[in-house]
Amino acid sequence: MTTQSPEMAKVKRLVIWLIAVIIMADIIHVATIWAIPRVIMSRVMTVVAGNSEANVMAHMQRPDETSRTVVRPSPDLAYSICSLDLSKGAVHVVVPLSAPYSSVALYSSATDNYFVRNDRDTDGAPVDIVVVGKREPIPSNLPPSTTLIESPTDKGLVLVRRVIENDESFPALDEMRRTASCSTIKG
Amino acid sequence: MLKKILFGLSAFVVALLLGVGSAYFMLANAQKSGGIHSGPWATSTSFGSPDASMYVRARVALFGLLALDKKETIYFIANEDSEGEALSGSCTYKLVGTPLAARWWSITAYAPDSYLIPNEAKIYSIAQTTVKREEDGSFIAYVSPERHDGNWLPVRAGEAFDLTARFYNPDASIYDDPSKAVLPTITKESCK
Repeated sequence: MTTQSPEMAKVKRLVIWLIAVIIMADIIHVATIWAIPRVIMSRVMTVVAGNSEANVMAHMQRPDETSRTVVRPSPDLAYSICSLDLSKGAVHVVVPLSAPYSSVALYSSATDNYFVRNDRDTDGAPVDIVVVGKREPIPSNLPPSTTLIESPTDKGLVLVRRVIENDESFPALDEMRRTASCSTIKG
Repeated sequence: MLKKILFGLSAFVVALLLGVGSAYFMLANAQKSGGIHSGPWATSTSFGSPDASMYVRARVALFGLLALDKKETIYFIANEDSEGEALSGSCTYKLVGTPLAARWWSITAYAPDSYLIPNEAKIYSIAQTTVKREEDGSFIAYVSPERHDGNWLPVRAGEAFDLTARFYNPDASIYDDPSKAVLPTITKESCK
């Protein structure tokens, strides 16, 4: 039987310490990268929900230098946004579309864009969808002629983009976008 | 006992610094714009996609949250001019290009914090429907802190900036091979 010298014991402790640091640093690195989009998206949803309730369409002011909720706003677009909470039930979204470009995009709480339809896809007809959570039941009273979309996460966002061709066209676009709806289906 | 606590605590603190520091370093030094280049413009085809890696997803959250999938919109970002020098608000740049191959397009200037640049004229972009064109259909735009006749994108003197070109419903050739996209040249004219 051999006894360990004090120097060997110190080296052994140092090696164990280094291995522990490397393993923990790897885990913390991955956790940080994983968490960034979710934390930022959660903050955006909180800000949006703070201005209105979840599952309600809100219309943003025309983007300018004071628009600081989401990075890189496009100054040529009129945005409408609905913060989704599908744990409250499926959500019915109806959005009239306009030329020369408008779209309805759905984002998960991890920032993924899992659905988009634009005015060319629908030949100018409104987008009419029901969004349901992955683990939530499909409502029995689905509106006719609607499209069912399954969200990968219970929370997320609906973002409507609408090109503002010029300043003169904005009032009519603004009036049109205010007819869009986002509402929880009861039952 | 105290020795064991110090052993574990010191390892955790060092790991925390290394883990968060390396994440910050990778995101801060990775290009905001992605790895596919067309002149000074760069993009990634995985912006906004569920197939994006966790690094792309984190970068998009920091520098371009709520991006659309590539078939809906492709985003090109220029942080440098056509000579490879960083864009500076202390210089005047001339953009020369043809309409971008998309159903609708725009080019917007952003401050280093990724928000729109404050300016008295309230001009933040040039776009398909508002750009003034040359007789042959091409366009010329100036990017500078001082007002220019014609197409002008104001920036802030003494501050860096970048340009984002958005292709809404890009032609299939663009999302099939973004490196072949035709975008404006960015030529430095003068600096103060």
